[in-house]
Amino acid sequence: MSDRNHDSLNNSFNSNDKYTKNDVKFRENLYRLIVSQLFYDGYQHVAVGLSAAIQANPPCPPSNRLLNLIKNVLQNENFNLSDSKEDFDYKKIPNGDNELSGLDFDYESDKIPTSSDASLYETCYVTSHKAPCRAAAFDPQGTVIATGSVDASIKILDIERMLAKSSLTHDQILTSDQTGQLSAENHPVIRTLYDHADEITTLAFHPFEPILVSGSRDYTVKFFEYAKPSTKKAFKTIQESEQIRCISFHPNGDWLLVSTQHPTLRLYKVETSQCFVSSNPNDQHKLAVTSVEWSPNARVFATASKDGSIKLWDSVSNRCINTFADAHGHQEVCSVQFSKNSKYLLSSGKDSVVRLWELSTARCLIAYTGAGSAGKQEKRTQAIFNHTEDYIFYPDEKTTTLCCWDSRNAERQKLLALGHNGVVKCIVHSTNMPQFITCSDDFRARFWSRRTLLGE
Amino acid sequence: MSITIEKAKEKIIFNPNSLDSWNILIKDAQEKPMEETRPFFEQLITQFPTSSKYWKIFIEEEIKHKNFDQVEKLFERCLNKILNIDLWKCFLNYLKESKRHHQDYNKIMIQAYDSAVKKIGLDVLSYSIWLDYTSFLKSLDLNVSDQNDKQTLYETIRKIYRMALENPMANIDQVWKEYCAFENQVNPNNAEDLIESLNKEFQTVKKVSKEYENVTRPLERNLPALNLEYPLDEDEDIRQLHAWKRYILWEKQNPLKLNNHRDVIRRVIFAYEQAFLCMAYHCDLWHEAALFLKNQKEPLKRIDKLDGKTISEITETAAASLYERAITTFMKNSCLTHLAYADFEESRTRITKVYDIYEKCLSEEKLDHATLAWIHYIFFVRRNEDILAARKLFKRARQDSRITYHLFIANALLEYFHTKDKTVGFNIFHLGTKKFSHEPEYMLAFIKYMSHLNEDNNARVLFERILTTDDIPAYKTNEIWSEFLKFECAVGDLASILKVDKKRLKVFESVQNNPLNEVTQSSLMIDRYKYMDLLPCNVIELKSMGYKSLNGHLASSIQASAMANLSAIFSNNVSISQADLAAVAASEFKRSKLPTPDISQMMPFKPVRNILPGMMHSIAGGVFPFPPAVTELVKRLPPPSTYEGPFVIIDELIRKFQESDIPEDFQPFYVQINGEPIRDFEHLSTSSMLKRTFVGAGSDDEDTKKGKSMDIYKQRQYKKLIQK
Repeated sequence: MSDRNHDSLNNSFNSNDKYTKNDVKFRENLYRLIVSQLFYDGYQHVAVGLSAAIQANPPCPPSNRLLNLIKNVLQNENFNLSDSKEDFDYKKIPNGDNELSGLDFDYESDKIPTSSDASLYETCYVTSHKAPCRAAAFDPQGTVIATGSVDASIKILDIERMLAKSSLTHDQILTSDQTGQLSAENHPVIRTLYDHADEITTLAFHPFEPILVSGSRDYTVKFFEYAKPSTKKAFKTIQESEQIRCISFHPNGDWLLVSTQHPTLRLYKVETSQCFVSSNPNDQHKLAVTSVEWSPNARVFATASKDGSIKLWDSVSNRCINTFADAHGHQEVCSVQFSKNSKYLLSSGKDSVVRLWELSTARCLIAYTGAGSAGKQEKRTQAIFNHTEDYIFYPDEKTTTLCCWDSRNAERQKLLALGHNGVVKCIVHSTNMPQFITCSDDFRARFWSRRTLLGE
Repeated sequence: MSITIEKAKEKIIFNPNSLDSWNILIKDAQEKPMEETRPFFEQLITQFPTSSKYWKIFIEEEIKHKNFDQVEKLFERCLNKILNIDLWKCFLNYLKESKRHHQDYNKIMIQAYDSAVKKIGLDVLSYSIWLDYTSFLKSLDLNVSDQNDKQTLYETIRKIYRMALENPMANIDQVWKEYCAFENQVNPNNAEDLIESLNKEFQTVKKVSKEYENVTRPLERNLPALNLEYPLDEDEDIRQLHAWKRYILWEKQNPLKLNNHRDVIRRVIFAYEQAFLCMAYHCDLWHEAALFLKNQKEPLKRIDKLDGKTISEITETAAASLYERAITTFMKNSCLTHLAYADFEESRTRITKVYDIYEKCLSEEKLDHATLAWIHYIFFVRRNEDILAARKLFKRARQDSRITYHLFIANALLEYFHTKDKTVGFNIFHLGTKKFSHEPEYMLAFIKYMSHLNEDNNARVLFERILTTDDIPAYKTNEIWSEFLKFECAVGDLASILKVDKKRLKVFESVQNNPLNEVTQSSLMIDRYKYMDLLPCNVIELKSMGYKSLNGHLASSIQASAMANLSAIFSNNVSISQADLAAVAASEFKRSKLPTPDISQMMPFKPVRNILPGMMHSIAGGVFPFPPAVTELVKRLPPPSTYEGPFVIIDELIRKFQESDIPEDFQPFYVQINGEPIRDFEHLSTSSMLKRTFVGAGSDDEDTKKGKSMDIYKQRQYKKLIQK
């Protein structure tokens, strides 16, 4: 604090003429925009060269902003400030609540991250299963989380209670345990559900109702009304013919995508449990589908498969509209996740590279590298956005640390030691808070939250 | 770039709550010379006068440009009003930087630190200020050579440490550690005792500190106060408000178990002050705070044993100044706050002040309910002076262009109840008809007044006058007609009742073609016979008659039942606020616009593991499911194991099917089971389907079992053959 003020005082002493300084700054901005545009347009070599020449720091992200700016200026020159498309877009953005917060390479270039990187998170709570922990989910309101394990159990934990617990001192936990009463009332685990016969492989919350859906190796998808204190068993079950791998809800909660060990992707109508598939057999993957997600605007959904490809599907017709074959260097693709504006797709594979795909142009925009340098990745895991999409998190298998990149310029950030004694096969980030969960083969799930105080 | 800025400027004019636009403008302003942007920053802090963040940005900008006079002026303007930890830290840092070479540097700093810990020392993040203070004092030690001075300095430091350790805050452990180190350093002999004497208290404070951290964690203290009149993120706003209220409630419960009630009040008021910075436009917070102060008289007397004068100073005077602050700043246009303040002042008999409040309230241009303020003003004048003064005021009120008909009704009834003289009330009502004869509610009130006075003939004349003139459009007169009927039922004979009924029918016949109204004969009849909420038939009959709740009360009862339905759906909370409902409706609307899968473009599918030959689907891994009607039928058939013949020769049956003529005009009919039609694509969950068994169809479990048993049968047969 004091340092910064000091600096600013000194700076102002030194800069005698702000106008020339501003000019220099504008020129620097211009070059940064040019570099960003070159990256965006795919002229990597020229961009790298120019970037080195102007010593761009921080590195420039790819961005289409320069083109949009020029377009706008030229249009305004011609039409003298008529209602251009940019106008429309601009009006849309400040009104739309969340749209500003996420990634958007069309209209932004040098956006300063507003959230904190991985190194500032700390474990708030650890919960243990009796076998490796393999699945986790945040409810959309951010009040509870669910974890699932190979021991076939599902735990539901209250976030506020976990946070409260983390701030209690050791003595207080001891005293409260002695009295007993306090711990029962404030225990973070609010439900434990035993209704599956085998490993829980995936969990998903309904977009707005208090319903949790789980998929398991016991060939079933089960629906739980977790808000009811008496809930022990599922109130609805979909019987499958294969082990479930991944599920995803349509944003209106009426449809459920289910991927299994079998390549054929199933679409279930939740109300009737009717199952549908694409009308074209060639649409399907060749091997098991590892990950599936519906885009937030519900127009498309994406799947990743062991056959190394990522597919995009039209959600109205359930037909495959695009395939990114060999998306991760002939290796299995393990996860896909959409950005909040549904414009970009984040994927990870067993090549330990995380890629960001621009869907409007169907190409890989950014590759985030550097993970997996300590040894070949064997097991699946996921790459995720943080809640503001400023950073990308990816657990490194050999070192059990969390890799973190700036999502825009792919700059590597400090690592975070995850403290697990096993592989982290599942990681999920909250959509609105700086919180995430890691699930590991050491039987534990850890709940992480950004450290709140600066002084520690 | 400049277009973005133009847009942002436009945007903040019609929505000053758009923080994104403000941020764009701030960023732009930071790149420009100070002389040009100062008006903008002034505009910013006028719009958000309690936002420490924006004050800080402004001040930092001035510091950057070395306008130290301006900086100090700005600090003067904001420091005492805005008790924000960041702003105070910024101030202290500024002093440290700028006054370093001032001759009274030490004195200035001590003064500044003193006022800082006094003002903001209760804050959860105040540890850094406390620690800075003590380390600053310690640094003075080097310059002091005189032993006595040294001792006084140590005393001061000890005092500051002890003051700090009384307050729960984050990182209090560090303060404690430093204190222990300090004692051990300055007097190693007594240190142990001194520390021990404090330790017990410290442990409680430490425990409370954790709670304090938790309860303040959800608060976003850098959020500027947003005006509720403009669009804002309501969910977030409510969440923050609740978080603040939780924090305030926690303080009210006296978590530190302080013996001195004054300190409790100090902490609670500090919490309120913090809340006002972010939530200044919530009138309930202001009201709650004033009420809290007002109610502290008794505990102050009981616990602190203070004398009356001090008590009223702490409670009433403070409450009054709080109200005063509210109505001059954020609650300028809030009728509620003005009325509450007026009542409060009246309760402690400061009548002249009440007049001032009402006058000020009515002079506000954008006051939300001017008529209501006038009405209460008149009531107030009546009880403190007499009816003549109230009349004078009423005359004045009539000149106001903002008033509605309620003013006339209130005054007429006031006259009647107060003076028991019906003519004055009658005159006032008459006066009102000049202006409001087109308001059915007003005329209804007039009629009720007349009929309650038992002025039968006058009332009848009035009815006729209202219903024959065209001031009120016919479709709005229903209420008046039923009042007329009620009146005739009470005082008239049957002939006059029927006459009124007939006239009414005629009027509604003429409006029947009006699309706004669907009045049927029978529904008019119901209006004639019903009494209050007693109706001559039940709700379902009413609906079938097309009784469209002309009087609105049925509408409200239906609405109430709809509300009950909704609350049943959400089952958790019975009470759902209007805002919640609106939010639910909005998100539902948003969801309804999302693209959804169209099943006619897909193929129905039934995942199956071991597919029997002939059941192939073009998509691997499953078979075609039965049509819904067949599925339903199959579910209702007994399991195959119970079937023992006779068996159909399938080839023959198929041949029969093939030979039979299906007529051209054949209409498929839908199966009905127990009177329920089986619609297309409707059957129960597959899970229950699979548990059922049916011949020759897809369930994998059943098929495999059956296959095995067939094999065993064949094996036995084979064995028998061999044995023979």
